[in-house]
This record gives sequence, structure tokens and C-alpha cells, in this order.
Amino acid sequence: MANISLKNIRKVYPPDVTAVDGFNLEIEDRRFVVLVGPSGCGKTTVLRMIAGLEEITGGELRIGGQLMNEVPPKNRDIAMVFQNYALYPHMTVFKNMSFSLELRKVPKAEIKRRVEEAARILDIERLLHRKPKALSGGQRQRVALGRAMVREPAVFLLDEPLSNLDAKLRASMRTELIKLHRRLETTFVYVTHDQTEAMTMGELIVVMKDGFIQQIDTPQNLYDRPCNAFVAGFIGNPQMNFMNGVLERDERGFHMAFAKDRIYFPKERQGGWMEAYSGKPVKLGVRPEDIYDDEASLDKYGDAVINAHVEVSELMGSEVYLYLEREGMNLTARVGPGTTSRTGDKVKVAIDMGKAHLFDPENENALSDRQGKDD
Amino acid sequence: MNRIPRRILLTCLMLAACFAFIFPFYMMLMMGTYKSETLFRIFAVLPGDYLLENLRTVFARNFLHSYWNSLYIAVFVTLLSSLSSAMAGYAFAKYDFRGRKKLFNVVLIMLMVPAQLGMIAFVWEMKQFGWSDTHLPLIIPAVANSFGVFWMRQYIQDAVPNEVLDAARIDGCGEIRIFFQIALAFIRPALLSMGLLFFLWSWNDYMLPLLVINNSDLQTMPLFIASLKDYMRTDYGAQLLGVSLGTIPLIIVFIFFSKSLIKGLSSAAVKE
Repeated sequence: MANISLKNIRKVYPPDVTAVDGFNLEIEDRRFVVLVGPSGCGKTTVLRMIAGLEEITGGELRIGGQLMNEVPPKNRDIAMVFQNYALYPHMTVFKNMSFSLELRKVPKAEIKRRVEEAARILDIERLLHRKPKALSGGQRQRVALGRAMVREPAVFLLDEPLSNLDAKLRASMRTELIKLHRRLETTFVYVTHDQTEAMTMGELIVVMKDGFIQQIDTPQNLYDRPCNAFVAGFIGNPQMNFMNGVLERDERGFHMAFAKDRIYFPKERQGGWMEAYSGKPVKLGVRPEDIYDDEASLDKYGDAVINAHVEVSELMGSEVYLYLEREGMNLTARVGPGTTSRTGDKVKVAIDMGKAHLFDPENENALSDRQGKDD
Repeated sequence: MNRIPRRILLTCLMLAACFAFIFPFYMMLMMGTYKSETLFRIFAVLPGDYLLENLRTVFARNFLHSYWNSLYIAVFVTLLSSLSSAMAGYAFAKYDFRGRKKLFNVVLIMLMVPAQLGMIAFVWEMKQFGWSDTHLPLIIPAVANSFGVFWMRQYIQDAVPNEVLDAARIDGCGEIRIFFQIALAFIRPALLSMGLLFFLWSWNDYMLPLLVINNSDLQTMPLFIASLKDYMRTDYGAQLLGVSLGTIPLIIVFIFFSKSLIKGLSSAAVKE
């Protein structure tokens, strides 16, 4: 059992810089948990505290139920994979992988078996006699994973392990890591600033900002029900569009009022929860894929159509990104490749308000029923 | 078209520089084959006929003994100073401990103060320790070398990645093992070049042995060479031969380690 429990974890660097505060997280055994957030949000600090590489200023860290605050890294039954691989340059791949086992006085035959087994899984058998400088980035990353695997640890800690790889290799290594997690059936704690990595790999994602947890949820829930504008903007690519307006009500129901436009919420979305915000400024959040420029959608979402100017049209192959401008507001729409909108065109676009999000413009917390709390 | 004249010019400049460096050395070798009195009458470009006499003069005194003294002192100083500098530099570069900045400032101040200023106090101190007329004052104080600590700290800060040290900690290494088994592998080029400098400084050191050594059996090479004179006459020929012979270990060391010396010096200055 290697469930991890972090209770009220706090980290303060001298003289008085708080990196992490009030961090509470329960990670069940064998889960793949991703800590994600922008640079400086404290995610690596949390990982290093779990590893024992950073002292914990306050709170309790338990691994497998055992208090770990004062336990040195080597006794925590963890393995860590670093961003820059952190291989020992003067040792061969075999030696790099076997080093920790030798220190633990594991019998030689067992060391050989484990190293060869890990090398076979990672497809680096033919590299075992080489030194790290003779390996490519991807191969080095595999060796770093292999070094962690041979330990057969209770917890794998991975600190942005794919950041130094090129885009293609990163995509394939993502799949490899998911397979590896299934195969090893061990707890993985993965740190990244890349929301794509977080969404594709994590069973549970912890979104962090400025040392605080913003939301802990499954990838789909984070995407569909972000708890605040930060999470909504951080998760999703291209990121969510935000428009400041006023929530108003007339005979046709609740709508967002902008300087020149009024866009209405569909009947099924309107509810009593909107009354509290009626007449108040709110922030509307719309995902790029919920903005349409085709005739059928303009008819379907006729109550939520605005005029816009196409500043740039980017063909991505299977889809087109339209960068739109309307009354000083910038919007991004993700539309199908069959779109007729081109750079410089004046177009009408429809917004699926049934999927739109509302946020308080002051504290940026989600207001809408999409959080699943209000109605 | 411009390249060839430029190349010729560069080659000529390099040859001139080589000549400027090698010629005095060549003259030293040649002058060691002449009688002292002859040296001031001729320009000794070609070998003279007094080599055997000069050799006899040099070997009739304590030459081999002084040679041995210098050699073992230089080896001890090199090993101990390199190790202590690397360990202290590593601590300053990689550990966060109370008073680190202040202590490092002390190292920097020591680096800036001329050693000559402390000579009288040093001799007095050695006398208090009972180390006068022993080799200990030439070995033990050299272990705390502020230049070495400063240089290794600067090098280690950039050359040894923190992640590798962290990886070693997670793998199960203690701090001592991390230093000897992991960190040393990264700093070997700098350590080697620093060791060569320590060897050179110790071998050539004249002032410190002059202050603390009185017994001729304990003389080092520079003292021995300086002693090749009587009240009435200085034997320059023999002295120059002694200097030539004294240079041999340095030349051997440089021939074997020149590449790593250059690598270490340049990598200490430029972050890779």
C-alpha cells in the first residue's frame, strides 16, 4: 500500500517566502496523479517534499500511513525521475540503473535480473554498456525511468520528465508512461506545467497557483466544471475565451449584455441561481470549440450570435483557429476545416451558451450551475 | 585570398611568441654547461664544456636529498590541498548552512590579502606549535588554500547539477559517498588543473622554506639552488644546472596533463 497523504503542508523559504501553504491532498494507492500549474506555483516543491529533498515547514506527510516528515529520501521507498534525467555521466547505463540496488546490497544475480527486465520493458537492452553522453534525449529519459523502475518503489515521482524532449517524442513517451503505470501498478505523482500532459495522463489532476491548490478533479471534470477562471483558462488549448459583461434579464430570459450585443442563455440553462447575479457584472467563459461560424449553428444558436472581425485564420489541418475581434474583445474559435471565414472577413459567429461558464469578476470563482452546486 | 597572408602573419606571431617563451629556457639549459666566470664573457648559445664539473658541484651537495624533500612536500601539498579545496568548495556551492555567506567572504578576504603580510605572525605561530625546522609548516597550512576553495566553489556551482546529487540521495547515497563517488566525477578536470597549480606553487616556493627551514637536510630545491654559493663566489653555472634539473618534474607533469590543465582552466571560467 502506498497511498500518500498530505495534510496542511506548508513550505516557507527563508527569510519569509511562502512557496506552498495549506496543501491537502489524499492520493490513493496505484493512482496516477498530476500536479499542474504555471512556473513558480509550488508543484515541484510539493514533489520534492514528498521525495524528502525539501524540508517540510509545517503539516504532515504520510506514505503508506507512516509519517515521513523526518525520514531521509533513501528510506521513503520512492523513486524519482528528473527533468534533466540526472544520470551519472561517468557510469554506464547498467551501472546507472544498478547503482541504487548495489547500495542496498541486493545480490548481484537479482540486480542483473531486475536491470535486464527493466531494460527489456523500456527497449534499451542494447544500450546497457553505453555511457549517458552516447545516448539521445529519449534514450536518456528511458534510462532515468529504468533507474527508477529497478528499485520497485512504492511511489514514482516524476518532475517534468518530458520537458526536454521534442514534441513528437514527448507524445510517444506520454503513451509509454501511461502503459508503464498500468504495468507497474504503482502510485505515480507527476509534475508538469503542460496541461496537455496533465489531461492525457492524469487520473486525478491537481491544479495549483501561487502555492495553493485551485482544484482537484478528474481531467473531464476540470474541463467541464472548472471551479474558477484560472482553472478554466489553464486547462484547454486554445484557452477559454473570457468576456466581461452584465448578466441581465428581460422577457426572453437571462442574457449577457455587452456594449452592442445581447446573447441569451438557452431555456434549459436558465435557473433560479441566476437571479442572485442579475444586473451585476460577470465574466463569461466560452471554450473555442463552442463558437461556430457555419449556417446550421447560426440557426441553431440564433439567440447568441455576434458580429466579429477575423484577424487571423490558422489552418491546423483537421480544424481551423479563427482569431476574432469584437468591440475590443479578442475571441478564439475552433471551427471545422470546411469554414469559409478567412483573414480580414467580417463574420457572424454563434456561441453555444448552454456550455458557457460564468465567473465572478472580482474573485474569479465559478458562478454557473456547471459547477454542479448551485441548482 | 585574404586568408593566406593572414595565416602567414598568425604563424609568424605564434613563432615569435614560442621563441620568446622557449629561448630563456634554452639559455638556462646552455648556461648550465658553462663555468660561472665564462658566462659573463660570452653569449652562451651553444653547449659549453663545463657540464660535468657543474654536475659534480651540484651532486656533491645535498641535491638528491633536497630533490626528494621538494617532491614529497609538493605531492602532499597537492593531494591534501586539492582534497580540502574541493570539499570546502563543494560545501560552499551545494549546502545551505548558517553563516555560509560570511564564511565565504572570509575566504575572499584571505584571497585578497598578500601572504607576505602575515609572514612574521606565521613564523611565530609555527614556533609556538614547535614546527620550526620541520616540513610541517610547508604542508599543513597549505591545506587551507583560499584560492583553491574559491576556484572549486565557482566551478562546482555550475558543473555539478543539483538534480544528480538529489538522484544520488534518493538512490541511497550518504553525503560523503555523494562527494567521492558522484561529485568528484564532475569536477575531475578542474581538480586536476588545480592540483597541477598546487604542485607548481609548492615546488617553486622559496619564501616560506627560507623562513622556516634552517637545517640543510630539510632544504627544498629552491633553497638548495640558492645555497650554491660561497662567501666569495656565486656558482651561477651550477645554479642554472640545478634549476634546469629542478624543472624536470614540472615538465613531465605538464607534458602528461597539459590538456586537462587547459580544459580545467577554461571550463572554470566559462559555464558550459
